[in-house]
Amino acid sequence: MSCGDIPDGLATEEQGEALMPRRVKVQRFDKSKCQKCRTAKSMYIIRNVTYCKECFSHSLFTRLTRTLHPAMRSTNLTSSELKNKSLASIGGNRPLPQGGSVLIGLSGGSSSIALLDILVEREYIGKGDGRVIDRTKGEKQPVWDRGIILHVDFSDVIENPISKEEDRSEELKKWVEGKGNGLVWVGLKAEDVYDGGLRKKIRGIVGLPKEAEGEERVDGDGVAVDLKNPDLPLFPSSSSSSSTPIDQLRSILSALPAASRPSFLSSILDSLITTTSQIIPDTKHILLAETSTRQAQRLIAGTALGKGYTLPLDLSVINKSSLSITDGSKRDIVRLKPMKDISFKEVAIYTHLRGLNGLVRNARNWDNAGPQGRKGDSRGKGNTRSLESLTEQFIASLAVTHPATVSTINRTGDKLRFTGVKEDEVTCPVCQLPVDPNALEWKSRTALTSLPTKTLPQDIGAVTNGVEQGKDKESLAKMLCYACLTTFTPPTVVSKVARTEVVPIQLPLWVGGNVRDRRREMREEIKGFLIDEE
Amino acid sequence: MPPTPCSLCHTARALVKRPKTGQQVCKDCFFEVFETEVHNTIVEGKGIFERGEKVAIGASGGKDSTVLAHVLSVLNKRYHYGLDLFLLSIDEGITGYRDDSLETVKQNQIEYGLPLKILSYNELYGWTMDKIVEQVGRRNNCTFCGVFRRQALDRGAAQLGVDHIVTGHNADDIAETVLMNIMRGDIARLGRCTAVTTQSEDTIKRSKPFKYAYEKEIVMYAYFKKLTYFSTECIYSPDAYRGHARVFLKDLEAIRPSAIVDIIHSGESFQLEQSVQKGMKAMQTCLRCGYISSNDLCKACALLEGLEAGLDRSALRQTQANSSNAPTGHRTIPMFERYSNVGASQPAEGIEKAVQAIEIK
Repeated sequence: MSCGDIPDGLATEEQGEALMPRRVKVQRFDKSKCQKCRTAKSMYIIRNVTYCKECFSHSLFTRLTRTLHPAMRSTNLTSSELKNKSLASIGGNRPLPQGGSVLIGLSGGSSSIALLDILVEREYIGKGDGRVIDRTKGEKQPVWDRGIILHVDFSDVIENPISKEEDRSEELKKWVEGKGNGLVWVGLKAEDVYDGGLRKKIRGIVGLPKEAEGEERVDGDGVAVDLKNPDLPLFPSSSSSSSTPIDQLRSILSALPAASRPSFLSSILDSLITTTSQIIPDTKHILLAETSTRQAQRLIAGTALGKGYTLPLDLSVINKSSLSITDGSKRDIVRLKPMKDISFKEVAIYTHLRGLNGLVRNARNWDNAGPQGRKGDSRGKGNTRSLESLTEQFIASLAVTHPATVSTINRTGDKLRFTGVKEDEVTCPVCQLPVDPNALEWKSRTALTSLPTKTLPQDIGAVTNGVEQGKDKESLAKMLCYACLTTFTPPTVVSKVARTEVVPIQLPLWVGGNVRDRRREMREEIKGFLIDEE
Repeated sequence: MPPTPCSLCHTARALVKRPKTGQQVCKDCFFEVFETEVHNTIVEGKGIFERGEKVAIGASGGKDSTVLAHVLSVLNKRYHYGLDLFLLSIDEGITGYRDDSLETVKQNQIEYGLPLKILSYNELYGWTMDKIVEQVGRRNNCTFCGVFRRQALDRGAAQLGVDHIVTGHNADDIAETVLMNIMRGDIARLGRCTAVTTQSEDTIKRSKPFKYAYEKEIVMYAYFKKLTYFSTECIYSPDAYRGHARVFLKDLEAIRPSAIVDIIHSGESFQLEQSVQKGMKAMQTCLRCGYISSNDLCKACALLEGLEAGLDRSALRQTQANSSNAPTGHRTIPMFERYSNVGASQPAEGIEKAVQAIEIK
């Protein structure tokens, strides 16, 4: 280049005249008009682009399909269906009809309400009555035959300092049924994880026969754990089954440190979703309405919780898992997160646009679960009590000065991959995700709680009230993944001498079931070497 | 309130609460558990060191490097690692900060009886940080310091003839780095930052024995052992992005003390997609000074060219000129010799003077 004698990059302002005269900045668009259709008045500005109401709705839907449709195509079932070209040509932009049911998690927050609203509006979900679609009348072929809406209510354990947390199930149920799309409402409560009759209840709601063949009684699954002992010894279920599920849930929440409660509640939610999808036989997909903002929070909070091993599974758009159902066989279920590219702000604008804001409640409030204000509970910055809420605040504040934060974090998360082989992995009894190898050993190596050179006095023991010492009990700590181990580990390692009373706390039934299955698997492995079968 | 016995030895009275586990321990047990954890980090797997290896301790005079020098000397003797230890210090030329901390390093040399080598930015690049900040401003100066220091450490180590550098990076530093790399999308670094020893082809190994040691515990150790260290922050300390990650980390620690180690565990479990790994640049050598680089010119040469040209912040964005010859009149960095003839180069400050004041009498 021979414009002047100045090498590239070193020209200063004054020398500009030797180069081309600077262009005057031309405003190419009018900010008062929508930039997409150029006609209507602009209502919203997202990332410097103005939108009118219709174009905004449309752009949101386009982004949803861009995430959802490829995910559906790749999970398409039979190759013969793929070969059926006539099916592929139906609808153009729509995914191939999947049939079966779709399970949609509705928390009552903006994004789940928006997701359901969009899917019903665009006729993705059939009315469940098997009628034939008349395309000449403009009806669209639904992707799934039936929609099942699952809502889990946590109000019984949240102690909101301002007012009692309300149970929103009725309100949401009315809205869902008012949509008239044959949607089946399944409303559960958090304490149902302690209810032996949960499966029967769900079957009843969905219209299936109450007893399924081959399903074992779940009541015998109870296990209790001593949460004060870092080895987490297991005890058989105490015969105090007279306590109600809500009491049992409350007692475990009060035994856990405040920082661990949200992740425990999160595993309760996951387990209820999994159980429901196991019970309803034709569920092919589970849709969870997680926004990009929530995704970024989960990545950072998951790192802080030690979940690095399973995060790539958690974050992926498609998460296929094989669920064992009652007769011992496995069925593939796919979890999808179609709202992954949509930010929280946009979803909030959408619900406002559609007049749904009266219905939306966004604060999950798990920080206030369990007893409040116990001595020794540390309150973090901004009155937070858990890592998750601290992360939410942090990302929100960082996004103000660095607007690309959320998308950068998500892009980083997308590049991570899961290293284990999913099918062969041992799963954690609590979170039902693969266990990182050597979690317990790593933890004890990096934070020594005893010195090899110091001998311990004889265990004074904890024999009180006829409850046996924790010493030769099976240890839950050895079965857990790193993150669940962190959740359950007591915050301060109390010296063995100081621990005099052992109070085992009842664990939810799904955990008991998984522990029992693990025990059975381990026994199967060594069966040939056991001398005495009795 | 009756005195609680130490949770580790059950005999002495507990004086401190360990930030990492919350256990109440006596002073001696605290020292022992701290040193044992560092020892475990060092010998884990195949071990960081080999017998007879020459190891340079990156010494800044701050708490991490002082405690590192102390603990390494102690462990070297106690467990017979057979290492040859040196102190290597870098003078960035920051008045009121670095000149004071260098005095502390000289004291350390006397206390531990280790040979000391000091390398300065002025000598190596012809610029001090004071001059750089004058020209570039206060916002992005950490980049210059970091890039220059890395090369300086490698060159100093090569001149000493050592094959291994250890730095005092602690658990808090590594956790901050993991968080920062996630937030900035720095995938390449995310994969590497949790390794206890890093090495690319033909560079000097770098290790972080304090990988699992909390910053608070290092301070406690230095306090109770009455070690001398220089305790202020760099005067040009930032506004850097790392500040956000640090504040967040401190808040996490307040809620759950094990969060720091949990983050490191997560960082260790992260694996990248194959396609991403293949897309990363391969290593070459700098055309001008021979240091390793991912482009034709190493970052230090590129930055130096920007500085010499009189640029301010845009020195950071200096595009890589494809010539291996610097423009006339510019200072350049001397050629990097990985395996220098130890005798021929400047010898390290002799050990004789320091040996006189040696320790355990």
